[in-house]
Amino acid sequence: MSDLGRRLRHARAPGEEAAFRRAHPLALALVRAAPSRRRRRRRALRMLAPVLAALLVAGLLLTSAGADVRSWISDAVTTSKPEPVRPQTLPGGGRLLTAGRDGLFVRTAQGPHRIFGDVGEAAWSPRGLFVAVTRGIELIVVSPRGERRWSLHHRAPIRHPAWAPIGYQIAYLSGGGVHLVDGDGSDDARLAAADGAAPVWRPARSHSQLTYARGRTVVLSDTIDRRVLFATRAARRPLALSWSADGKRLLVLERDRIQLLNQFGARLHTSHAPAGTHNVTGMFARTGRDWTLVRGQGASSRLLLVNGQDTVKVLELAGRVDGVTYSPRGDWLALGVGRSVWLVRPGYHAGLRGVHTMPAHGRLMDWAP
Amino acid sequence: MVVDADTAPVVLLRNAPRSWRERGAVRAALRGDAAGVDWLFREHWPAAYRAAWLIVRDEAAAEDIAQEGFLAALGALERFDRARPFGPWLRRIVARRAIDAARARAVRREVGAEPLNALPAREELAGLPDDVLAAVALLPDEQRIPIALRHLLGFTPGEIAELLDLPRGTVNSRLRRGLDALSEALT
Repeated sequence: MSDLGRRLRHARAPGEEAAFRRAHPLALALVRAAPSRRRRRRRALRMLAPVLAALLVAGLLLTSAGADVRSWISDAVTTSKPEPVRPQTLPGGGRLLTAGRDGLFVRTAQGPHRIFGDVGEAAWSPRGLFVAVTRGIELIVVSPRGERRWSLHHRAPIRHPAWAPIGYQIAYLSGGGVHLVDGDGSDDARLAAADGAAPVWRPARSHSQLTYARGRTVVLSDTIDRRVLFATRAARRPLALSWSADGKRLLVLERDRIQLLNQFGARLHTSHAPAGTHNVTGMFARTGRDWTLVRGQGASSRLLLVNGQDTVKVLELAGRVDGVTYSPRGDWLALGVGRSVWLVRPGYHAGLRGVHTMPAHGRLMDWAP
Repeated sequence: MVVDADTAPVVLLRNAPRSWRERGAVRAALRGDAAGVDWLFREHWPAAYRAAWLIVRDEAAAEDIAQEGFLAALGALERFDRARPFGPWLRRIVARRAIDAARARAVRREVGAEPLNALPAREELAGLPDDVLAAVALLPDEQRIPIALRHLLGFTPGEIAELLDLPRGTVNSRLRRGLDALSEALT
């Protein structure tokens, strides 16, 4: 080995130690996730199939940053003029929730109804029986007709309420921490330090695992025994988190890159935003592993539908998108754009199949059955 | 005591030659034993990160490349020929990914100036604690990448020519010019 080679092998590159500390537990987590060869032999194809599938998915996703960038920019652009929605309809069905200074509105196929006053954010309970709303330092739970059921308050503003998938608890951020309160307003307690992105529940069997951001770290905790199941560092503070329906993929959205983690927090895929654009929001579809991404570029936005490693830029919007949510059946996507809501029907293999628009009555929040 | 080489934990091979320990670690990793993965990671990940950093000169990108390369190598371990050393195999995976990333960045550079902000400034590179690493990092892409591939990752000029899709003579001349520039910078 040359003297130059020896020197280079012993020099530490910038960021090497910190990167090692982050990458090491993830590599070990990956091997723990995979069953051993001997066990696989014994269990034959029954065990081999999911592992191979996982490796295949990882293989498909583990592409270089360069390949990502090329694949993100697709020419398949479908810019459609949206068709106004008739007042007495709601494509996608269910009940769409919007909130703002004008009040809290529920829009159904019968049209919009104001059910409550000025609120900050709002979230449906899983079956749409209640709405959790924030108003400054207050968290209020109201019925769909606007009757106040209970409320609590903190010293600091309350943000990002999120109902657990079985509706038993509500997670929310306040005062630099993530808190949990039972669905009837009892047992309000702080779980851990957290800030930034809205907490999201992992759709796993126990329905007790909550993901939140603490600075640049994404944490998955069990809310029953308070164990930290993983803590993965991101390059920047995450803007949004979203789990796939099977609870096996976590989308971590940062301003200039996207990471896809597995259920153990190991990074499977990273993609950087092209020059001049930034990520705004993104989320997994209600079923499967398709997901949606909104990128901003100046005063306009792009909607991208992602299916595996294929990305199609499907819509160029003149305006900034401030919210995204799927219809209860997952066949329609609502985008909050300025003072209107755009409803699009995503076809992950064939671009868009319909674009409609309607007045927003505030910011887009949630969509329930 | 008779130790079954196929089931012996990596720790039992602590005093064995490095190549034996590596084979033991690969066997252990194939069994799903975290100790084997741990050994391979500690042994090979730092050089992979360093090489990726020298090629792309971007900490976040180098971390992604080294980690994704390592995970890809682990995922394909079943196909790995265990008669051969693991290190060069991993280094080839990482080198390919880093070269792809550097090429993609060069393409993006034509589109907009944003990615350039992610690159370290010349003063930052010059301020690295290791003078040799700093001097290599300051070389232009066409000299730095072949130098990193040759002297850090141990590829032959023929292999570098194949990786970079360049004639072998071009690789040799870039290596020569790079070494000349280094010797000038370090004296």
